Amino acid sequence: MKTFLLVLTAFSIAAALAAAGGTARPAARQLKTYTMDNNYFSCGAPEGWSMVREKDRDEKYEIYEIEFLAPRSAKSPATIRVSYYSKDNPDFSGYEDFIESNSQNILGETKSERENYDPVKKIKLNGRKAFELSRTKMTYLHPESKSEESEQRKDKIYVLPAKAGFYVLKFSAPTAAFVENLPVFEKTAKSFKGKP
Amino acid sequence: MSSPSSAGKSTLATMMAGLLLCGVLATGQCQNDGIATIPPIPGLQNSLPTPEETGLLNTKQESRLAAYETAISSGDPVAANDFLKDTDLINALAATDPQKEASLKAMAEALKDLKELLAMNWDDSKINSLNRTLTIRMDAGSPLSKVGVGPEPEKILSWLAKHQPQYPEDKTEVLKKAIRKWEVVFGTMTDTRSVRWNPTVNVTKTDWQTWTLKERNAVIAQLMKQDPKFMGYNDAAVAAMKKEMSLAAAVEKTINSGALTPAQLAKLSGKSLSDQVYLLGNFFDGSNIAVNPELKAQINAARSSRPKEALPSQQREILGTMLNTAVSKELAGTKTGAKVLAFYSKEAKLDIAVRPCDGAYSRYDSASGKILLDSETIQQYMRMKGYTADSLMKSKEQLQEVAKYISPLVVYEAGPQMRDVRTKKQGLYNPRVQESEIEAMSLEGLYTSEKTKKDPEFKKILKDSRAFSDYASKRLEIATEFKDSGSKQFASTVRQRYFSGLPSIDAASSQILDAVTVELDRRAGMSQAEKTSFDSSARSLTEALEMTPAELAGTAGEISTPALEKLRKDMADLAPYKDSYEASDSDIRKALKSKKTGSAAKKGAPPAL
Repeated sequence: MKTFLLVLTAFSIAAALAAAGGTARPAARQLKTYTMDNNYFSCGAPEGWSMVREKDRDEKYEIYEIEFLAPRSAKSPATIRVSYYSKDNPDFSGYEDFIESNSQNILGETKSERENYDPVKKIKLNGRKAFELSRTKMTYLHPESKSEESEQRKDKIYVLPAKAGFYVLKFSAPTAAFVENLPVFEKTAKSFKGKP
Repeated sequence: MSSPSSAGKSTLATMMAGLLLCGVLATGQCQNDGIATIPPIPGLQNSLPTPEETGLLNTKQESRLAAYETAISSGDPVAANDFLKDTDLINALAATDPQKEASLKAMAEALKDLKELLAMNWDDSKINSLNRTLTIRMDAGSPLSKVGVGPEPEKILSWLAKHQPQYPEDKTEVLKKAIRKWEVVFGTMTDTRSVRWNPTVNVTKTDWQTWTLKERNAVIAQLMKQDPKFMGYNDAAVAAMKKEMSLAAAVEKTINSGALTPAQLAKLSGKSLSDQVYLLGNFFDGSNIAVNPELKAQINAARSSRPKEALPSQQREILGTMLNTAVSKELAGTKTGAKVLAFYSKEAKLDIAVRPCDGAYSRYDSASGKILLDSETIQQYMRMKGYTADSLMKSKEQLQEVAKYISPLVVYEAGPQMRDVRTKKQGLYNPRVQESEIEAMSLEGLYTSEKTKKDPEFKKILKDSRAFSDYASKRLEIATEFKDSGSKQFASTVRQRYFSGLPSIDAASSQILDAVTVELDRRAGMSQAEKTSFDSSARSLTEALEMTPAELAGTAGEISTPALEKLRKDMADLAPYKDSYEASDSDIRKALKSKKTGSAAKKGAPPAL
């Protein structure tokens, strides 16, 4: 119903504009700001990229996230996901747990024939303490069948601790599309604002 | 593309419909999340007649119902969602007109499910998955087709334009490919395509536009046989082709390695790939041919078993029995394994059988209560390790090694078995849906991650096998995926990547409710004598409970009336199912978290699961 009311409000504004003789103008070509529920964070939405949000599941898991998908690319698109993991989220006990889980495979390896995890780096992002993770992985595209078809993807992840929970900014792309789309991710990361 | 004026009209129409709906619902419905909370009036509460007593809805409920019916029948997903939350109206309608309640609920569930489905991250790598998902949802007579989303596939595009105008352009392009639009499959230069059937038929663009996804896929499957460029529409065919190419390359490298004798090379000459692979396996057996061990392992893993490596049916029976004990030993010592063993000690018997599983690694057979493990997967492991059927039967060590190797499959299959046993106890129908697969795969992911930490031999077996066995490599990838992404993202991966062809519980309920309601409506016109006669030879409830949602929807006309009524009752109230999935999901999350933080239950305490 909240969504419905939101849509209705938007329609009402459009109707009011139309009644007042206003003309809808195309939006200025600039980085639009996306603000997450409860102001958990805001960030620049890459121009021309589409957005995916699963509001109901976000609330259930207390993990609030938005995913941006690059325009047409290879087999699967480059994606940027900006997530806020509340302190009560059920999946990771804290940012250390997230970092440990995402910096090695299940065998505890950082290098294998299908995966390569770079060492975790301590960095500053927008003036706050952060960690940088990079990895390259072969991923089965159809693991439900006996298919071997895989795709190589490269991920760059920033993890930012917060007083209550932590933030994750994740960029993932097929290796061939990584370099081309990386500046878009960095721009979004630079625009990121979260709670302390 | 709509003109500005038509877009304006459409916006206005949507606005009016929204205002009408909100206006009608304002009497207690436009609060919070649309859940009706009409406060009780002291003293009057028990004196007002209920819909059950009057057999009628009150005026406000009638108005809301009319608004919902109009909106849902035009495919409005927002109204569908609101209706499903309007428990006051649903309960009243169930009491006064259960047929209408079931029918409206089926359509509303289908719309809600479609909206959630399309919200997922669909891209070019998942076109065929999306096609499978939509094929089962948009077939003729489905609830979605009744609200204008099918059975002609292009209707989904009109529906999107009307109800989700902001839907991303990229994903719309993926959708066009998934519904096999004529232009996508055959290009824009032609309106006719000849298909060699028996006899050859000419398919026209006009025909194509009236066909369902199932029909389009059947034509494409036929075209695949005459033109390899259509193979891209079938993931399994593409995978098989790639695997064969990789194997052919390995054989060629071996032949060109200089390690084979002229006599061996002569034997290989002119043979088919599968014969060459088999012969190379024979050459490698017990010899010291200096070929790269990885090539040897790839060829041995791919070839068919020699007689001494194959497990004949009698030995498969014995092996199944022996694995019951050996696998139980493997499960002990992990929390996930303890949960599975607790189930097998109290609620069911662990009964493993080793059989060919038709391209799957394992299967749970509800009728016999057996977990079936694929004999070829075991034989492949035996080939890689140089074990024979005899040596496996005689060596406790080899048997335990095989038990370790296949133990994640037993944990995975325990998921559907737990659900099967428990729903049978509750007397509920147990549809195979995405949610049950999420539950089973999460159990497997959790088990494999625990076991790799606690059992170095298990870790070594999977690690050493992964280069030559997709099975081993996938077990490790599932566990890594579960660990990396957490349960929230893992559930999406299972829905999209692993089991996109299965319906969700909402879609299954919608599909079954619709078919059952239509059939019960038809039977309402029969005399009692006709009904009794029909029911005496119809399919029983026991048979119906073994069917998949698609089978039930397709054979509702053959199922007895009491069985249909029972199914309608089960599928009209999804709360027990959803509560159970949520509880299981929550248990798994807690177990994962406690394992990671080290705050697991103390020694001797019951496992967190």
